[in-house]
This record gives sequence, C-alpha cells and structure tokens, in this order.
Amino acid sequence: MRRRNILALLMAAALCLGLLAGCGSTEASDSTGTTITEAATIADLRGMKIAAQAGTFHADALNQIENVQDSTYPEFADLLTALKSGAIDGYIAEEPTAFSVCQSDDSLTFLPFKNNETGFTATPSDVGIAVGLKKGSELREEINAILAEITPEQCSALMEQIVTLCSGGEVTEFVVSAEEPENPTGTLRVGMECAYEPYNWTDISGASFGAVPISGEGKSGLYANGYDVQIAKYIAARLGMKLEIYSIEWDSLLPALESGAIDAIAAGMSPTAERAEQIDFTDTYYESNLVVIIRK
Amino acid sequence: MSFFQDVINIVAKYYPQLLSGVGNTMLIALTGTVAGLAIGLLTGIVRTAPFSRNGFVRVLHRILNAVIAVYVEVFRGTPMMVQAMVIYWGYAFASGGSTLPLIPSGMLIVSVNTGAYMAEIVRGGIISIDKGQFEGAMSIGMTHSQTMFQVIIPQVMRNILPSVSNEFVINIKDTSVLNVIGVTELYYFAGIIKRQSFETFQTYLVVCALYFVLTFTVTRLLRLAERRLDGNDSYVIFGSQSDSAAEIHIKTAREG
Repeated sequence: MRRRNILALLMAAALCLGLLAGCGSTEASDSTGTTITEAATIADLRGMKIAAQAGTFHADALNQIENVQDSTYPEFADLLTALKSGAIDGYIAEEPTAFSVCQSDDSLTFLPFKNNETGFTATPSDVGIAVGLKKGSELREEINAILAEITPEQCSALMEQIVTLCSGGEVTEFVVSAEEPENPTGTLRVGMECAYEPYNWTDISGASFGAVPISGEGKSGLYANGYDVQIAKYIAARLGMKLEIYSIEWDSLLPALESGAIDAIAAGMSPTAERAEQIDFTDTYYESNLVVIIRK
Repeated sequence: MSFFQDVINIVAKYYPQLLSGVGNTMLIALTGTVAGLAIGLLTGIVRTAPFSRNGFVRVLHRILNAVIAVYVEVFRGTPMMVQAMVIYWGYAFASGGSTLPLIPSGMLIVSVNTGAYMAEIVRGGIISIDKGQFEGAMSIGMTHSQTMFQVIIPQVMRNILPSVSNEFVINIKDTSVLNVIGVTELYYFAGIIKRQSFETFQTYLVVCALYFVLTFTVTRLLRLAERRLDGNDSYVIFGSQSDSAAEIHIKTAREG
C-alpha cells in the first residue's frame, strides 16, 4: 500500500516536471515578422517583451521602445533568470555587463546598439558612472584630479581586462594601478553591491587577481573585485590611504554614505539628477553603451 | 541529467558558505525565539497583574501597560524587513556613522519582533487558564506572584509550546529578510552563489531543501519536548487524606 503511494507521488512529480518542460519558449517576433536577433536599431524592438532593473536609468530607457511590453525586476541577476526561462525576450544592460554575461553563457548574445545612434538616447549622466561622496566632501576635487589622469583608452583597456578576468581568463597586471602606500594617512571606506559584474562582484571561493577582502563582520573569506574595485584601489593608493571595501545592498548605499558608515560609493552608479540632490558625484570614470541581451 | 549535476555541483562547491549560512540562520532564529519568549513572558505577567492599591505603583503600572501596548502594535504591525532597515540605518544616522555589528543586530531585530507576537501568545496563555485556579490559589492564601509563578506559568508554558514552536519555525524562515542589511545568513549566501553560478533555480532549490530540513527538524524536536512535558497518559494518585505526613504518590500505568 505504502509503496503504491510513493509510486503515485513520483508519477505526480514527473508529470509536474513534464508540464514545466512543456512551457518552452517561443521565438520572439514583432508585427513585421523580423525576429529579435535581426534587430539593428531599437525601433526593431517594438512590441517585444523587454525588461530592465527597477530603479535604474535602464528602466526609464525602456519607454524609448515603441509599444514595448515592459517589466522591471528588483535585482540584476533576476533579469538573466527571466530571459533564460523565456518570460522576457531581452533585457537592457550595459555593454561590459553584456560582454561578461554572454561570455559565460553561450546560449546568449546581445544587440550592440550605440547610444544616440542606433540605440537609446542617453546623456553621460545617464550612462556614465561616477564616485558618490557625501555632500560637500573635500575628497571630490582630489579624486577628480586623479580620475582626470586616466585616459578613456585606459578605461576601455581596463574594462577589457576585467571582463577577461571575470569570465575566467588570466590577467597579470592591470592597465590602471598604483603602489599601495606603505604608511597610509587614513582609511577610505568604499561601498558597493559586490553583485554587478563586471563592475563589482564577490569572489566566494578564493580571490581572483587583484581582489580586495570585503570588510565587515561575517564577511571573512569573501573578496570583492571588478572595475569599481580597481578604480577604488587606484584612488585610495593615490590619496595615500588604505582601502576598505564594504558590500552593501543597492538601496542601502545612499543611507550608508549619508550616515557616514562609508566615505564613498563606487558601485557602477550613474550621477543622475535625483541622486545628485542627495549626494555629490565626481567626474565619470566610465561611459558605456546600453545594449539588449537576448537568447541566440 | 545535467540539471541534477548542476545541483550537486552547487552543493559540492559552495558547502562551506551554505553551512555557515545555516549556522547563522539557526543562531539568529534560536536567540530571537528565546529572547522573544522572555520578552513575551515579562510583558504577559505585567499586563495580567492586578493594579496595586498604592497610587504611585498603579500609575507606573498603567504607563508600563501603555508602553507595552504601543510596542506590541508597532512591531507586530510593520514588516520585519522594514524594521531591519529602520533600526540598522537609524542607528547609523543617530551615532554619526558607526554601525551595529551585523549578527547581533540581526538577533536584536528578530528578538523585538518575536517579542511582540510572544506578548500576545503569553497573554492568551494566561487568560486561558481557568479562573477557578486563581480563586483556589487565593483561597489557600497564595499571593498573586506565588499563584503566577507556581501555578499558572508552568501550565502556560506547556499550553503555549505549540505557538512557540510555530514562532521558531517562522523565525528560521524570516531571518532571510535580514539580507537587506547584509547579515550573512542562508539567503544572503544564496544570493551570492546565484550571482556567481548564474544558476538561480538550482541554487534556490538547494537552499529550499536546507530551510525545510531546518524547520522540519525543529518542529519534530519541539513535538518531542511537548510529549515529555505531558508525561504518561495514565496514572493513579494515591496517598492519605487524613494523615498530613503521608506522602502523595503518583503511580504510572507502566510501573503498575
């Protein structure tokens, strides 16, 4: 009797799995019949199911697509899950992110739009990223002077190295790096999500090249690395300060800075007008194109 | 079969993080439940105590009752995730930049939240005890505190145990909201593993199984404790009613 029950349960489970597998994805196509993989400009995306991370410029940019069936997700990693499950046709990401995602998953590719040409209309304050500082911080001028020395070519080269690194490649020396000071004059506490490849991520099993241990209780054995980390490292070294990285949820970054729990935010954060009302931003240290990640 | 292989790989690769997450989750849930029960007992006793004839003590008692009522309503009426953000960042703003250590602040948040629920559970437990027991205790000359600690509370503890175990299970699951302030419990590590492995479903399936093992073990253990507290199903009390020196014996069915 009992055995028959187990058998029935197993069959029910198998049925459920079968049903789930049956909900396969269907090829996305708009009213004119072109598929999403052939899209050359954002006009070709009209009427499709495109998503973006909530609370970002990406979510605003969604409205630039005609008749878009838009949706937003709270966390960036959820977009990838939504795409792979077939819930959406594509999602908006920045070019470096798209590179790193598509390199680590060969079932995905991205549409390489160029801002203000084939892609989304955007200003540097929308798609550039800058260091966030407390209102009136004296560090702003000093950091701007340091950032001014890094050329756009060096920025691109560093980003390429970072993308190589996070998709499992080898890097032996970063394009932008400085000697750590022997006698630091203070500590620079920098906050970031550590969850936004390739800008900042968490190394959970062993540090990758150039990674910095994450500070804070219960975070031993966790390392942060990425574009933001390397820039923060460079800034701290040039300021003659010791760098401490704190892993903080996106929504907590501003309260952390304003309360003084950290000195700066380097989290792939764009200096939007709304944010600039509450905190100061340095000049941008990277500007990227917005692209759309899709299934092949 | 690659799906199951992925699940096995996640367990094999990330088991140190998963275990440390399980440890922190259980630590916070356990201390939160125990401290919450202590808060509940304290507030329950205060709220059911009769008002003193002394005017000053009476006013103090009324103020205390009002404070408890506000505490219960506020902490029961707001989500724990919001409480976590408000307490953690509120302290950082108030202290000018120093933050509370993460795991103790997790314990604090779970404790005060559970305390609000426990206050009501204990109060319900006390008022559910038959009035005749209070009257009986008073008629043999026991004071209110003697009645409370020697007659009522032991029965309350047994009666509220199912609700306490319920709270414990809820706490194990609800510690997951503490990831908003960065407490390294199980759900926090699930987020990190998900972002590293890009295998969202597989990661959460593993974490789901872990949470279930935790809660199922706890409910079974507390059920066992309940049965121990109940004692034997059948027993005979014998002794002498006329000879006060004679001991009262309880004979269980098994011994008989």
